This record gives sequence, C-alpha cells and structure tokens, in this order.
Amino acid sequence: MSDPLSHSAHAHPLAPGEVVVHRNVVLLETDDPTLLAEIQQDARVRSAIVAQLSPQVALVRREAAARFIEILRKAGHTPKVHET
Amino acid sequence: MSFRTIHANIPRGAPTRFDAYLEWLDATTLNQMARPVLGPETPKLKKPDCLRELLSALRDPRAYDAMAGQLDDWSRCGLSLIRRYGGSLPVYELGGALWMCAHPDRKRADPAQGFVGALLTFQSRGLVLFANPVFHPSANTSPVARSVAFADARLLAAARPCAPPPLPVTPVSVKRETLRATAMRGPAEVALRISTLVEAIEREGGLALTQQGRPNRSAVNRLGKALTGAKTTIPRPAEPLNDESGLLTGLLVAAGLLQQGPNQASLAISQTTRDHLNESYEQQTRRWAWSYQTLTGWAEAQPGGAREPIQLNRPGTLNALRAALLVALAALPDPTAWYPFPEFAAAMQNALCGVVSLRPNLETYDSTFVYMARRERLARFQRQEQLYQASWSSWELPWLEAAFRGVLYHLGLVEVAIPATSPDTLLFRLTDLGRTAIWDVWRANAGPAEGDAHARAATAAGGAVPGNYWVVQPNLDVVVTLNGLPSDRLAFIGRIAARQSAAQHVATFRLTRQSIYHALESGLAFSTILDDLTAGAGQPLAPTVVRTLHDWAGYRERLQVRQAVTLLEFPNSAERDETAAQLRSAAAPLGECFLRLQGPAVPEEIRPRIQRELHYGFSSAPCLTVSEDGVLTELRLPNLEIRAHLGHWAEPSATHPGEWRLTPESIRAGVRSRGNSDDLWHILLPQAQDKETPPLLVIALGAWTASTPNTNVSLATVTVLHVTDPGTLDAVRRSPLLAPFLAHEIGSGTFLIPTERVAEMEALLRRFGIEPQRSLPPPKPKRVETYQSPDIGLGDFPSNRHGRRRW
Repeated sequence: MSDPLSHSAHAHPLAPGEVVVHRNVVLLETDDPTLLAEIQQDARVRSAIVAQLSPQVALVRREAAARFIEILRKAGHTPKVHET
Repeated sequence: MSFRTIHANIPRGAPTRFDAYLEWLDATTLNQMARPVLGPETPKLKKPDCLRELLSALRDPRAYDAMAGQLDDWSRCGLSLIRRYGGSLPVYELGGALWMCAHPDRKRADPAQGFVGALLTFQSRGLVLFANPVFHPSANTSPVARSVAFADARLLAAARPCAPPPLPVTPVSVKRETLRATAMRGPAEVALRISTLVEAIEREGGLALTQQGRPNRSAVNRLGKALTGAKTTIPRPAEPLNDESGLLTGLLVAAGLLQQGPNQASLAISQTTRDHLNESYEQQTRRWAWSYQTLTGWAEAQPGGAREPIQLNRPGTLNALRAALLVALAALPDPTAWYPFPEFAAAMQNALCGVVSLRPNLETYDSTFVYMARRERLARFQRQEQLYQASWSSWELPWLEAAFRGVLYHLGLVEVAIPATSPDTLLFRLTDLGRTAIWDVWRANAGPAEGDAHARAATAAGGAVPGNYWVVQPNLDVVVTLNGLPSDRLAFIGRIAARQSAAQHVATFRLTRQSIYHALESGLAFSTILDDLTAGAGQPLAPTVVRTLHDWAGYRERLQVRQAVTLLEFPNSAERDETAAQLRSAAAPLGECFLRLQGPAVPEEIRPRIQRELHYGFSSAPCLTVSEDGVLTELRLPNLEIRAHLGHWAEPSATHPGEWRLTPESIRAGVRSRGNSDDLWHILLPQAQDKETPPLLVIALGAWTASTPNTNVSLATVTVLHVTDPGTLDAVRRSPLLAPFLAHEIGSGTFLIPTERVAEMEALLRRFGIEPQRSLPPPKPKRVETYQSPDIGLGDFPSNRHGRRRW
C-alpha cells in the first residue's frame, strides 16, 4: 500500500517541476525516534498527532496545537516551542 | 448645572485637548466654562458665538497661562491629580479625591449637588470635561459609573502643581520600644508576592475567564495556592487578606499587566509585565497604589450586613473612598510621623461625610438631584448627611480600619502598630515606600530609586552587577536575602526559580527543571540565566549545579514544537534534494519529498513552480465527495492532515488514484489506531462537498465504529391472507372459526397468518368452498389525474402533492 501522505497516492498528483506549499503547519520534532514513539503511545496526545513525516518528525493537527503543548508539559516534557 | 458627558473614548495617558469636544456642551455649561477665558461678558453670548470666540481664544497659549494664573489651590490640586494619572481619571476617583482636597472649605464644592458637586464645580470652571464611551441620549441621566474626567493637556502643563492641604491630624511621638506590636512589609516582600503570582499565571498559561469576562474563581484560587505554598505569618496588628490572589490579580488587571489573550477566553501576562517587574520598587508601588484605587468590589473587608454591592463589577463608591484615602495619606502633615488611626478616620469623616457612603440605601450619586430646586436639594443633602454620620461607625470606619490592617499593609504602604500603653488604639505611619509612592509624588520629584540605579549600573557594566544577593546551594536551593535586593534581581530569581518559603528578610527558592524550562520559554537565554545567577551569588556556582542546569536546557532542545511552519512538497526526492542544495541552510529536508523552510517566505526561485498553496488552521474548501456505499472521491489534492486521515480510515482503490472506500475493516483499523472515531466524524467526513453524509452510510459507520451490529431492523418470512371480494372479506372478518388464525390485519383485506397454522387454515377455507390462490394479485396501478386545459391556462395553477389542484 502506498504512503497516504505522498501526493502520488491521490488524485491530481504533482507533475515534475511542480511544488505544493503547505503553510501554517505544526510539527513535533525530536532528535530521538524512540522519544517520538513514546509520545505517540500516550493516549492523551495521540489524537493531536496526525501522522509521522519522518522517524523524528510528526505532523500535529493545527487546531489542537495549543492543547497538545499543554498536555506535553503536564506529562513532564519540556518542549521548546517556536511560535513562528 | 447637570452632570453631562460627551460621547467619546478618552484613552488613558493620551494628551487631550478640549477643542474637539466643546460643541457637545449645552449653552449654560459652555458659558460657564468660557467665563474664565472670555471674561464677565460671556453670558450675553449665544452658544455659536461663545463657541467660536472660546476656540479662537484657546488658540493662544497665553490663554492657558491666564487661566492657570487664576486657579485657587483646590483647582490646582485637582489638576495635579489628573496630571499624575496621565490627563484623565474615572469620575468616582476624581470626585472622592476632590472632596478630600476640599476639606478646609467644603463650600468650594457645591454641597447641594451631593457627590457630583465637586465634579460639577470643576466643570463649571472649565477645568474638566466628562466623557463616556457609551452614548446616552439623555445627558441629564448619563451614568456616572463608567465616565471619565479629562483635562486639557495645555492647561495641565500651565498649572502649577499643588499638594493637598494638610489634614487636621496631630502626629504622636512614639519610641519603638513603647510599641507592643508592629507590622510592616518590606519592598522586596511585596514585589516577591506579585512576581510569584505573575510566574504562576505564566506557568498556568494564563488565567481563565468566565463567560461574563471575569477571572474564573477556581483559577484564581489555584493561584492562591502558589502564594500560600510557602506559609508567611502575618504579624499583629496587621491581618491576612481574605482573598490575596484575587486582590493581586485585580491589581495586575487594573495596571494593564494582565490583559485579555488572543483567544478572548483568558487573561495573559502582557509584554510589558517583565519590564514592570524590573522597575524600582517605588515605581512598582506607585502603580499598585493607583491600581488599588480603581479596583471594584470589597478588596478590604465587607462590613457586616453588607450585600454584594451592585458596584462589585463597576466603579462606584468604593473607588471614591479609596481615592480619598490615598489623598488623605498624601495630606498627612509629616510623612515620617506616627498617627493615631481614630483621629485620621475622624478627619476623613469630616471631609467626606454627606457625599460618600458605603451603606446601600445611601446612594453616593443621585441623578434625581438635578430635577430638584436648589433649596430642596440642600435640605435633602443635610438630611442625608445626618444619616451618613449615623452610619459611619458601622460602615465606613470598619472598612477604613480593614484597609490599614489589610491592603495598605500588604502593599507595603503603611506600618501599623499597637502602643503598649493603649492596646485598643491603632497607630500607623507611611513606610519609606509609601511615602515615596503616595506623599512625595504630590510634591518634589522623587530622586533616582534604588532599582533604577542598579539598572543603570547593569547597563553600564554590560550585564548583571555582581553582588551577594543569594546563595545557590548544591541541592539547587537558592537562599535570597531580601534586604537591599534590587527589584530587577528579585524579578530575575522569581523568573528562574520556584519560591519555597518567605520570611521578612529571607526567601528560599528552588531551581527546578520546570522553572528553568519556563524561564527559557519566557525568552531568557540560557547564558543569561547562568551568568546572572553566578553574578547574584557573588561567586562561581558549584559544578554539579552548572551541569544540572545544562542538562535541563538540553532536555528542552530534544523536543521541539514548531508552529506556523512552511513546508514545500516536491514530486520526488530527487527534485527535493536538488532544491535543498540550492537553498542550503534556508531549508531542511524532511521525509521523502518535503522541505521545511526556516521562515514563512517562499524563495523567489521556487515561486514560479508553485502548483498550489494549502493553508492549515483555516476552514478549507471541501475536497471530497462521499457516496452512500462509502466511496470517497478526491476533488483535488487534499492537505496533509486530510491525506493522513484518509489513510487512517479508508482503503485506497487499487485502480483509481484519488478514490478511497470506507469499509468495516478500515473503520475498525482506524478506531484501533486513533483510539476513537472523533477524527472520522469531525475531520474527514466534514470534508465532503455535500455537507450531509448519506444517512445509510452514517448508520453503517455507527455500526462499524461501535463494532456491534444495528439490531433495530427485522427481516422475516411471513404468510398473508389477501381477500379482494368485499362479501368474502366481511365473512372472514366476522367468522369465529377463522379468528384464531388471523394474527393481524396489516391492510384492508390482508391478514398475517402464523406460519405454523397455514395448512390447518387452508383446510378450513377449503371446507367452506374457498380455494386460496398461491400468489398475490398484482397491485392496481395508481390512478393519475390529468387535466387538459385548452384555453384558460388552468394547468398553471399549483397542485398539491396528491396532484389535486388547489383553488
């Protein structure tokens, strides 16, 4: 099964030379894939993490970002939050 | 003259001129205002002429000098007060202060007008105008509560400052050893509690608001725990506050340091709060004193029998009393001396009695005054004054004493004491901080404060000034000496460490992973934390402390949440890598074919290649169609969130890219991976072009997500007896022999027959000569009425759903 995040799995895929710009995306990044996996196991934040873009990077639902950060902090994590 | 307001929003602290507002005034008010400028001939002028000549005269700066030169001390005193507050002041506060300033000769304010008499006198002298941001068609009944008094900036500049006249109270000579008990809060102690609250709000992520826009009570109580976490004993004769967190929160809001956040549902620490906490203690205290004056509700104590006042959430009598109290303290003859509280209270009573009362049925401002004749008003005022005198000891006096023992002590403005010789008498005096914040501001300019000097020295030195302000212990406790601690150092330590305990001279903080994290998140650089902590200790930190701090800062770097990221998506990894090489450090590769840009701007060379821009966080156009059998068809390339949810909840078509199918298996897999079906209902299905998901599919999804079949429908094989002939039907219905076989008549002439008794019934029918057919007759075609309307166009008339025409 092809990766659902890839444009090729969808209608109107990108032609060579074309680019899609995604603005206002929220990402969770870590240097440790096991830490990311550990966070994804947490039922409180699972609904906010939509997909994994790479072993170290996950896509977070935009509308849930503030609550996501709050829950991470309450869970004892100390995420560095970049506003822009 | 009546209390008349202008419909205008006068921002606090903004220099304002009268010119734009004069035309709003009625002829009488305008004439009275113009008299000091235009001379005694003014009453003969009509309003347009008066306005024109007044505006013309006010263009000459000398007019203001002339006006200022004619002012008496009371007027100058009032203008000094308005200038101190930036040119405008809520009318209740100005009214209370003016009555207090008028105490040597109360006739200067118009007693017949009651509380607003002083305000109206100021208006008639052309010194102030009143403005209300809300329009009131009837000027005579304009509510006082939300109105603001403002003065012309040019007049404020021209008028010489004047302090309030000395209060008739006599200082008492007191030796410290003759006092049984004294209570005073040091500047650092006060600032420490406020900075503790600020840090607690910051760590909570703000202060939640109720739907009415007030701070949520339980959230304020939670903040109270931060203050009471470290027990502080309150020495007698001071008293603990009933609601310290509520008071301090109110002060922060009134000072503009706690403002409505972007989501409107909570209050957040404003950008200027940090700067304020770094200001000198004197500057901070001046701000608290003014904020205290503007608080609504019972901050001091609620006198016995008092209801919740209507002014709980709007300005009113309490603000007038607080403003008068601060003026009375500024009017003490000797700012360093001790005074007996009863004598001070009596002086306030003489100045205010008759115009301000907390007793609910004695309104401070009565709008019906303006409809009475002057003599009637005066008589009513005198009657009320007697009532005020009678109620003073049970209403205002306890409130005033509670203010001294409570708020004024807790804000470090007064020191209270009980003499050994007279244990029932409360003595008070202004603290150094109180003298600077309340007494000095009316007089000479205060000299440079301790905190300012420290800040200047720090700037000159290019960093924190070394000093022995605290000891950082290897167990990460920080013991802080409060005496002589500059305000910016106190703000710094409160920002990076959690307060553990506080006494009069020493406070203990603890460096924790969370406190360092919050300090870094609030914008402090790690190097600043380390350098300033070392400088404040006056010696190098223990290596274990430094290593621990480094570790904590490192933990923060391990996990990063990037908001508002711009991603570029490429057709394949080769194109992505090629572009990444071109952009170098401006972009970082991500996954198979993404690039994360460092900023929001897309590089120029990429722009011509942009096929589509997708914005997250905004409601986007629907990108799917949903059919009843669960087939999702993409209308365009979905954004990453929708793509991910398609992968979670549907199976891709093997033959048609962009087509997905919701199946029982895919839905169950989605529920397993996502924990529940919320994303399906609230994110994926709302992407459908037709907002309503086909009802049968909704039923199916409900069953699949619940993993239990829908059992609300029955499907069974039954036998029916159908009789078409009316005579036979009547016979069957009336037959006692057949009755046990007929379970239910489901339509005219159609009966349900229990399946196990069909053979028995068939035999019975045959016995009576009825031969039942094995198939049901075909249904009769529905009769359709048609109407030909050859000439008169009747066919155009509307018809109802049965095809019949309505006339």
